Amino acid sequence: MTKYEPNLSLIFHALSDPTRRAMLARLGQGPVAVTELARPTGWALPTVMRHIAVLEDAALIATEKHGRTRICSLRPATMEATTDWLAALREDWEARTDRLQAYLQTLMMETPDDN
Amino acid sequence: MTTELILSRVLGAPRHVIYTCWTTPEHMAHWFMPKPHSIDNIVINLHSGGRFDSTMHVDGAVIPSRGCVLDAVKDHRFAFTDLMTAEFQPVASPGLGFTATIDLSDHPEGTLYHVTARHRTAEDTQKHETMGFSVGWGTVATQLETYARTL
Repeated sequence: MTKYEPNLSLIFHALSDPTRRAMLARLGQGPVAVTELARPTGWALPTVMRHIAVLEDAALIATEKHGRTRICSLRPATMEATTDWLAALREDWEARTDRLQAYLQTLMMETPDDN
Repeated sequence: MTTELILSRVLGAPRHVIYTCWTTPEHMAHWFMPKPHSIDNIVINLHSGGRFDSTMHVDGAVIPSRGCVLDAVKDHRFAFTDLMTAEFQPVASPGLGFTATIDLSDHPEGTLYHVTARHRTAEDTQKHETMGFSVGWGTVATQLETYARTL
C-alpha cells in the first residue's frame, strides 16, 4: 500500500509550458475532447498529443476514450497536493508565531515592568 | 529564484522581548518546536557568520540542525539560514534550504513582527532529480496557487 504522492518533478515540468497551462485552464471549465483542446493552439494533433501526454504523466489530467473521441478532464487533487508544499511551510510559520505569542504573554505576565 | 513566504503579525510585547525570545536558547526552547517535539543544545552566536545550531527531537528521532546567523541587529532584526553553517560555510546537502529574516518594528499595540522566509524550490526540497530546464519557480508556484483557488 503506497500513499499517492504527486511527482513534483513531473508536475512542475508540465506547468512550465504556457500552452499546457492554457490547456489546464480550459479543462478547469470542464472535460473536453482532444480536438477541442487542440483548436486554440493551431498546432498539429501529434504535437498537442505530446503536451497532453506530459499533463497525463504528471497526473494533472486524465484521458478516456469514448468511441473515436478522446476526452480530457482535470484531476484537481494533483494540483491541490502540489500547493500543499507552500501551505505546509506557511502553517509552520503561523504555528511558530502562535507559540511565540503565547510564550510572550506568559513572559509579560511574569515581568509586568519589562516594558 | 526563490519561493518566498511572508508573515506579518502584531505581537503584544516590546521589540526587545521578542528579540530576546528569538536569540536566547533558554527562551527558544519554550516555543520554537510544537509539542510534544522539543529542541535543545541550542547555540546562537549573535553576529553575522555566527553559529545557529540545535538538536531537535521529533517523534523520538534526534535531528541535529546546524545553521548560520546572517544578521543580528539587536531588537530590530534577526536572520539565519540552514544553507550555511558558521562562518558562511556552505552546506553540501541542506534540509529545507531557506533563509529567514525576522524584522521587528514599533507598533501602537506592541511590535510589528514581520517574517520573510525564502526557500529553494519545491523541487530542491523534495530532492527530486533535476529535469534540466530553467523556469521561474516562484512564478510557477504563484500561478499554481492562483490556479488552485479557481478549482
